[in-house]
Amino acid sequence: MSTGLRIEHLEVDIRHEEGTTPILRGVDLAVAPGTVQGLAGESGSGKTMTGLAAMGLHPSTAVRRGHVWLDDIDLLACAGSRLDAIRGRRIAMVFQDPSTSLHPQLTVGAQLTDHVRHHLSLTRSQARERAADGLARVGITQGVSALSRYPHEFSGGQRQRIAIAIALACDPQVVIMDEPTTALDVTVQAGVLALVRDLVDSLDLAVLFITHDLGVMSAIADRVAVMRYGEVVEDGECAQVFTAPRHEYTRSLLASLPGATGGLRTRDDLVRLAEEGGEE
Amino acid sequence: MSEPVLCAEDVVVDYPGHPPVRAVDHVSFEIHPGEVVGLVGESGCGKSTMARVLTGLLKPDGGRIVYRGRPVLPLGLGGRAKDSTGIQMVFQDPGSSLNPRRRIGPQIQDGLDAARRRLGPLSASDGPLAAERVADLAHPSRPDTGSRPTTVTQWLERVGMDPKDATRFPRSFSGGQRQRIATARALAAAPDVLIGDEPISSLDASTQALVAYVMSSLTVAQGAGMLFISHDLSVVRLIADTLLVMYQGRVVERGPADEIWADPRHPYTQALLRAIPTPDGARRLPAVTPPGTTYPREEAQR
Repeated sequence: MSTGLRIEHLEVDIRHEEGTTPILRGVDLAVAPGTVQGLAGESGSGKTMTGLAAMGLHPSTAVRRGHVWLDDIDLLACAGSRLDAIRGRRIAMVFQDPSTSLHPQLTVGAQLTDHVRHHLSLTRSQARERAADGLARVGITQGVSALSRYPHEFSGGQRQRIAIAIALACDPQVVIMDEPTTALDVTVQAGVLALVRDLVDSLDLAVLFITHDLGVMSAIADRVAVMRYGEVVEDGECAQVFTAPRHEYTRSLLASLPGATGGLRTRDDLVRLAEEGGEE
Repeated sequence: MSEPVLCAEDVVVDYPGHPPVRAVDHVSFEIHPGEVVGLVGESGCGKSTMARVLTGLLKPDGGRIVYRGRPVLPLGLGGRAKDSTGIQMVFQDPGSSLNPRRRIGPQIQDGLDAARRRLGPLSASDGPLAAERVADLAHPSRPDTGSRPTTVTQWLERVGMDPKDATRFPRSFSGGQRQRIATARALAAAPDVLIGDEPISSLDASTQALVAYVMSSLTVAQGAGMLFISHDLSVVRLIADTLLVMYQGRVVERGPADEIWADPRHPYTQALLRAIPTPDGARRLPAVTPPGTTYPREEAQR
């Protein structure tokens, strides 16, 4: 039985010529199976670095401290072939822009089967079958014919579904999604959010969902953590964070948003916010 | 109602291909002085193409753009005509719309110089001749030319920045600050109309509404009109007087922003509004439209 993902006091420093700059200052997060843990924050708050550092995809100038537990394995203590065997197999990642995270010159089938055969001992035809099943699971219903097509032959929403299919192909317990709907139109985004929710419920996935869009966060997350300056300043149930935020920063974020509790509902609210001198 | 400052008349744009793609399909609308028009729609609906046509960056295949009663000619190799600097633009990416190698003060000064070339001395206090020219050249519905900021310092203050920032380079500012600077530069040119093509979409969510407000309220205070192009209806409806909803190259709904937000008539507008997730903590997934859904391309009647 999986216990999901537990990030314990994760610190990341970036080394440069004049010394080091702290990027993460002790991040604690727990993502339970069957739940979506949201991670919100503005640009530069460290939310993407949290995902990358947990996966071991941080830049080479970064130094990590702390623990990232996947069951009883500390990912920070893993390297080389041991990390290779876990990453993509037991913990996977979905990125913002599927037009850069998918290889433009390889068919969708090749990308899915390469990945599956790297981790699981399957024959070519078994891998192909698994790939077609994986695409069907994310709502790409053209089946086998989709496998022989290239990423550019799909729409943006379909490409993100394919990226999700690749992430899920080896049945990982944990998936980190970094702004997976940010590059999509709102009507397409709605479909991808519904898919993510469906997969979390049916596969008992633990998902760390990173987004700056608090509307998206409110729709998808069971729990929400808010980051600022490399720290989690608030972490709670979705409804509590949005309707009764404990931290001043969360309150000021919500006050600047259209449609949020205590946020902007009319033009007068916006005029008032401007007069008070909103945060920038 | 005042004379429109900028009109799109039956504009058609085709992009080459087999078959050609009709990006803009017989679109007409008007922007009046002091009016903020919001143009919303999803990727590929033709809204950015429309912005390029309006500013003369792209020649339409049909129809025309009329600026203060005269047709806007497509931009040639010689740069923009003096007259057309009355149409100004703020672009999506604040990182590339300011020159990274110049201090921001001189960049705002460029705007002031453009205004001076087009309108003559900007202040009536420059002499009776100047006052006459100002009265003559300024748009009749723009009476407050005298209160217009006339220096870089005044413009920086007007957009909420420190005048001491004038000697700094664009890289030392955040995205929101750069869009404020870009707004100052555009408005310093004393435009009759400001076009913002997704000017807030690369900013953090918490600054989007505020920067949109600074941009639109200053434009209106100068007596100019604004076209605010965005995919984010929830912000646009707060600042726009009039909304245009585009779908597949057509305007499918238009009307007062409040009315469309409260009571969308076109099925596409309805789907667009339902798909916007609300930050209310209710864990409510936005409504999903089945893939492949198409909508009528006729404009809804309001």
